[in-house]
This record gives sequence, structure tokens and C-alpha cells, in this order.
Amino acid sequence: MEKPAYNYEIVRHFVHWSILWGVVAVLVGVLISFQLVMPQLNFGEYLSYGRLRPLHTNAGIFGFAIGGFFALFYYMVQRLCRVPLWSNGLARFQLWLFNIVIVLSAVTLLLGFSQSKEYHEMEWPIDLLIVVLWVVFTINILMTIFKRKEEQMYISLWFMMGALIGVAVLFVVNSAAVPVSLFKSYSAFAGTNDANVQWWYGHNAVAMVLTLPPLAVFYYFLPKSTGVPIFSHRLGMIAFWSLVFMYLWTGAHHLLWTPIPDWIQTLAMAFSIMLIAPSWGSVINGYLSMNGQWHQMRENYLVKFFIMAITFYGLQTLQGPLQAVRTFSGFIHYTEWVPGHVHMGTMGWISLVLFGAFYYLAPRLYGRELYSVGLANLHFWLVLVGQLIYSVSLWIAGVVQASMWHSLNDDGSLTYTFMESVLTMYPYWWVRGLGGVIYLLGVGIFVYNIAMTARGAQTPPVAARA
Amino acid sequence: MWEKNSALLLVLATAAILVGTMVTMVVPFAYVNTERDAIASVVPYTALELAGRDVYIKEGCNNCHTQTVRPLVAEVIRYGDYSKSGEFVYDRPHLWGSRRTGPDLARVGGKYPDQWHYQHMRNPSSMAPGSNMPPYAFLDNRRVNPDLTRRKLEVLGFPYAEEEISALAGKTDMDTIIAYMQKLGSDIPWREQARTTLVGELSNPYSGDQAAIAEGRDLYAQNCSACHGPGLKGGFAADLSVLGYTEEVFFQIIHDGILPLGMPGFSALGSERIWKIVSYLASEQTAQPPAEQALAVPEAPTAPVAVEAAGNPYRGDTAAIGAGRDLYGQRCAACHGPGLKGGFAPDLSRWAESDEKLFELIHDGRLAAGMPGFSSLGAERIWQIVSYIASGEVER
Repeated sequence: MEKPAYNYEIVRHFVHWSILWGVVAVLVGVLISFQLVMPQLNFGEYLSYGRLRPLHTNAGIFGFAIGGFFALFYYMVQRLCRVPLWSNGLARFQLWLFNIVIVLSAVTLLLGFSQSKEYHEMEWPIDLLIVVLWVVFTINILMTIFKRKEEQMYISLWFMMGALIGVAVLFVVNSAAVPVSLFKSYSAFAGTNDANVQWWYGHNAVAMVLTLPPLAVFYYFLPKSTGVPIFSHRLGMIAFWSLVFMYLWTGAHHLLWTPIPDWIQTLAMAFSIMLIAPSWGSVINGYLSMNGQWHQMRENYLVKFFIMAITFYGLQTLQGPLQAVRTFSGFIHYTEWVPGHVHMGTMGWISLVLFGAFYYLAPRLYGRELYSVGLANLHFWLVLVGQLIYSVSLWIAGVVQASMWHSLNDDGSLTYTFMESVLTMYPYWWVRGLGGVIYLLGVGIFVYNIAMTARGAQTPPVAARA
Repeated sequence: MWEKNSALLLVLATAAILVGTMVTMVVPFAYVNTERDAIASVVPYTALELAGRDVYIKEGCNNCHTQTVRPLVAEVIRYGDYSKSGEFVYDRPHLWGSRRTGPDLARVGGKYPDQWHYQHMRNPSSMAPGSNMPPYAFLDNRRVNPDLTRRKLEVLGFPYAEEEISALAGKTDMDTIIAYMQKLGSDIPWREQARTTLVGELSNPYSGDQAAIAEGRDLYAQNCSACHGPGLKGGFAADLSVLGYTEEVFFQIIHDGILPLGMPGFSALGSERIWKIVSYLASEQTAQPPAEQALAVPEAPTAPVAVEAAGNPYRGDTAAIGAGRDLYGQRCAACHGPGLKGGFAPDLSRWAESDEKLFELIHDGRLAAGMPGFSSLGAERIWQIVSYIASGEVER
């Protein structure tokens, strides 16, 4: 059978830009983590914590993760549909627009043009560009799927399509704003309504950007790496439908104990607990796919990335529902526990999936074997250890902090001032910074390994891989 | 079937996504920000406050500060009354935040005097030692754009007077953000309502206890010295070493604060720690407390003063005015400033009420405003102070 003319060039470009923005996200992350312990690292207004933190989150989510998913979706959709990309020109346009949006975002955020909504800080003109970007991407993926030569749509394609729709709905609603000038707008929603819409968006951005796409990647690249199929198509089906149905109910678990109506909070809490099932459906599907293949954890470095990633996904989706319970939220919310939780997801689950997939792609994109499997292993251990130091130190910090905030004396007065709780955090913040530096080292080694592969150093070229 | 039909999959997935969306995101619009949760006393932002709110957004303050007090015991004690939905109806966008690297700010309005905020924003660790908040001194260099602010008010539909806009000229971003801080959470009269009433006898369990004085000194350094200066010597708030109050009066002022003057209440410290601070303050007083200064407890007010001779026996008497001036210097100037010109307590140089009214105030005090009673001075000396104030001699 003749091999379709797959467009790997666009995949390669998106991989490169994703890695670049990923490095920026981690560098800024390390900088702001040290700003917490050394306020003198706030260099004037443009490089102060309040402006850099949105840059860190947006570079990570939209630069690194979405950039990576653009690459991987374009790779997977061609392979799974057995047709070339519907429009190479559109994809090329999208690559340019993507980078323009990221650069504009970075510049405007540092200049202080912000809507202040978490993970949606960019002002309205950039929102419009993002809508164009997403429409272009959606059209290209969907048209490729519509024209596919493979009748059966594999699990990964469902997750991809779910993400395309989900992001579109969320982003458009939460963007609604009235412009005052080119750089300033006011939300279309006020107060409690605005908070509810924002966290419906904020939490489901985690679903539609940071859960469905990495699961699509996982379901494709794990079997590709191990050489054995996924354990259960049906389990994948159950996981997919229950996930896309239940996720949307849970946004208000970010707003427990706030003035949001109680019934919304209670629904969010209940659905968050229920979400354990579809989440673990995918985790178990991954684990059972390793039946008889567990020796590959030792022999195949790619498998290590994917299995550790799905493990962190599993832990993340147990910890998340725990935090969504009113009593526990009352204790832990607003503390350092929360960034500890978030970074297990980002540094554990999502980035390990992306690293694994990029390593898998490297020989196919550059036409030669990876420069060094040894370095890839070192990279694995550094990012793993860095992330664990980061998250574990912050979980402990969060419990300590929460205890101090809630502690009362016998006479009913507060045991600790707020400042005492801040001073207690300093050692934990240092450890968190250390974790970030170790993770950054790992990322540095990853970049070096990919760069050396791209330059063709020392490794033999591989002849046309399937 | 849907695994082979991509259009069907798209329709079904969209439907699945929209169910939870409709119930938890769309339906709430029927409940929230309606008559049900409206609060009459909540008013839109003024031009100055709105400009300040946008500075708060621009600088990303919401990355470290929340603006919702949850109905949890420790939280209400720490920050104040829990937040109500109706308080946020003019907030576009909301600024509830998700992380408390710094404290919640939903109730910060009226907690500190403006001067505290200015110094804190310029150099946070000077007011809060150990703070990791970045310095925001650069806000002093940025001017408000009055025209842009007018446009903002119009877009939001907030009422404004043209004088408000013209008053913005020359204001800095620092001025605006501090105006915004002072508005936060003060639309409902929670401070007045949340006031704890002290009942029964107040007596210091640690009186003269050296260990308590040492602890009090540390507590003072943490909680008081930013405004009152190291060693009680006064900063932008009063010099505390010369007040000569009794321990009971010190206790009451620390516990309740003096809201009109920006002195926050520290009831959250608990009575034991307040008494330790009081012990420290008492040990450092250079003036002696008056022998029998009575503390007026709100529950059991002292008998109404019998205004003796129904009038000031010394009015215009220069000797009495001189004596009154000296007494004023000893007893009143710490708060009301030298020469009646006002300190952290009001300016008295333009006092216009009757002598009798003034006598009554000095005799009974006005504890709600933090003014202690000075009945122990005796009628004669109080009339002398009244004569001095009424002479308005600084005016001439």
C-alpha cells in the first residue's frame, strides 16, 4: 500500500516551539519561586511577581502544553486517519499565529495588560487572535478526520475531538468582555457570577487542555512504545464519555465556602468525587496494557515516561477530589498545598507525557536515532525527583500553614498572626525552589539531547520508519 | 456506531459538555446578583477607587491576595465578617483569587490608616517585618489618566460627578490603590457590628510580671511598632510613652481600636496577649497614671456628670488658661497634638461647641472613639483644660 505524504515538518516545528516556550515557562517559574524568598528579585514593575506569575502559567499551559498538543495532534491525526493533513497551508499559518499570540501575550502581560482571570489573563485583542487560532486548528483536524481512510476512530481521536469542542465553548464564554480601550476591558459578568463563570472555565481548562489531550497522547503513544495494543477499547469508551459528561459540573469546587450558592458547591463536590471513576478508568487501562510487558519499564525508556505520567495522573485525580470535599477544602484551600497539587499535574503527568511523546517522535522527525538514551534516563530522573521535591515540600507546607491559620487559643483568639505563618513558610519555599532547579536541569538535558539529535551528531540515520 | 461517525461523535460530545454547563454555569444567573442577594448599602466605586482597582489588576495583586472571607471560625476572627454575594455586584471582574501568599484583603478597608498603606506599599517589610511582598514604590511615579477613567466609569455605568474626574489630575497610581484598599469590604457596617463588648472588671493578671513585660515587648514589636515606632516613641501614630493611661484604658484601646483614627482593634490577639502588651506599655510610661481614673464600661455607664456651677468658672481667666495649657501638654497633646493642632486624634483648635459639652467629653470620654474619660482630674482641672481649649489661643 502506498504511504500517504504525511506532513511531519509542521509537527517538527510545533515540537521546537513548544520546547522553547516550555523552557521559558520553567525559567520564569524558577525565578518567581525565588522571588518568594528573596523579594529583592522583583526587578521593578515589569519583572515583579504579580506580572511574571501569569507569564509562567500561560507560557506553560498555552506555549508548552498546547504547542506540544498541536504537534502531537497533527502527528496522530494523520497516522490514525491514514491521510495527509487536510491543509498544510492552514497549519503553517497556525504555526505563525501561535507564536505571534504567545509573544504578544508575554509582552502585554509584562506591561500589565491583564484581565486578571486565572489562565485567561490576556486582554481582548489577544483573545480574538486565540479564537482564530483555535478555529483554524479545529477545522484542519476535523477536515482531516472527515476525509479519513480508516473507518474506525481510535480512542485518541475521541479525546482530541472532545478537547476541540470543549476549549471552544469555555474560551468564548469566559472571554465575554466590554472593551474600554485596546488594552483594557471589563468582564461581561459581575462579582459572584463572574467568579462562577471563571472557575467553570478555569477548572475545565484543566479538563479540555490538560486532561483530554494528554490522554489522547497517552492512548496513542503507550501502545506505540510498548508494541502491544491498549488493554480495553470499551474501558476507554466508558472513561471518555463519563469524563466529558462529569467534568463540567465541578468548577465550583474552586469556590467552596465562597458566596456561590450552596447547591452549586454541593454539586461540584459530588461530581468531583464521581470523577475518580473515569479518571481511574484510563489509569487502569494503561496499567493493564502493561500485562506481560512490565519488563519494558526497565528496558524501554519511553515506557518509563508514560507509565510514570499515568501514575501521577492517577494520584492527581485522587488528590483533586479529596480537595473538593468541603471540610478538607476549608482547611487546605488558599495554602501552599494547592501549587503542590497543581505541579504534580503539570510537572508529573502532562510534561512526562509530552517528553515521552517528543522522544518517540525524535527519530521520526530527524531521521536518526536519539542522541543519547543515557541522557534521556538522566532527564527522567531529574524531572521526577525535582517534581517530587517540589510537590511534597509544598504539601507539608500547606498542612503546616493551614494548621497555623486555623489554630485557636483557649480564650478563642488566634494562635498565630498571618506574618508568623509567612515566616514559617520560608524553609519550604527554599526547598520548592531547589525542586524547581533540579527540574530545570532535567529540562536542560532534554533540550540538549533533542538538539544533538536534530544536528545529527554521532547517531546513525534510520531508514524510513513505519 | 459513533466511533465510526465523526459528526455524531461531535454532536454527542457537545451535548455531554453542555449538560453540566447549563446546570452549574447558566442557571445560576437566575439566582445570583438578583433582588435575593442585593445589599442596599453597597455602592459602585468612585473614580478614584475604580482607578485603584485597575492598578490592583494591572499589578496582579490577585496572584497573592484573595478577596473572600469564608464563614469559618478562625477566618472570621482573623479577617472579619464573612463575604456576602451582594457585596460584589459592582466587581468586573471578580478578584477573589485562589492563593493567600499574603493575607485576604476583602475586609482590609478601614483596618489601617492611609499612612500605613503608603509606607507599606513603598517598602512592605518596613511595616511588616519578614514580608516577602515586592515593593511597589514605582506606583508613586505613575499618574492617573482622568479621561480614561471617565470612559471606564461610563462603560461600567457607574455614576460620577465631573469634580471627581477633575480631582484625579495629579493623583498617582499609589493614591488610587490606597483609596481602593480603604473601600474594600466597608460597604456593610461589619466593623461596628462585629465589635466585641467588654463586660465586667478589667484587671491585668500580669501586672508588674517581668516575664510578661518581656513577652509584651516582643508582641509590641510584631504588632505595634510599625506605626507607633520602636520603643513606643511614636512613628506616624502616637508616642505611647507619655500617655499615662491606666492599664484598663490601654487594654480597651488595643482591644477595640480607635476606628475613626485608623487604629485597628486587636481583639483577635486574645486578652492574654493584649494584657502582656499592656504590661509592657505600662512599664515604659514616663507619665504616671492618674490616681483613680475610672473606666467607663459601656454596659454600666458612669453616672451622668453633674456639671458643677452650670458653667465654666474660669472662662477668660488667663491664669486658668495657663494652667489648662500645662495640663493639656501632659494629658492631651500625645493624641491631639501640641497646640491643639491635632495628632492622631482630632484637631481642637476650631472647637465650637459649648464649654459644658467639652467638660462632659473630657470627664466621661468617648470610648467608642477611643477617647478615655479623665474624671479623675477633678472638675477644677477639667475646667482649666476647657478654658485653654475654648480660649482658641492658637488661633490668634
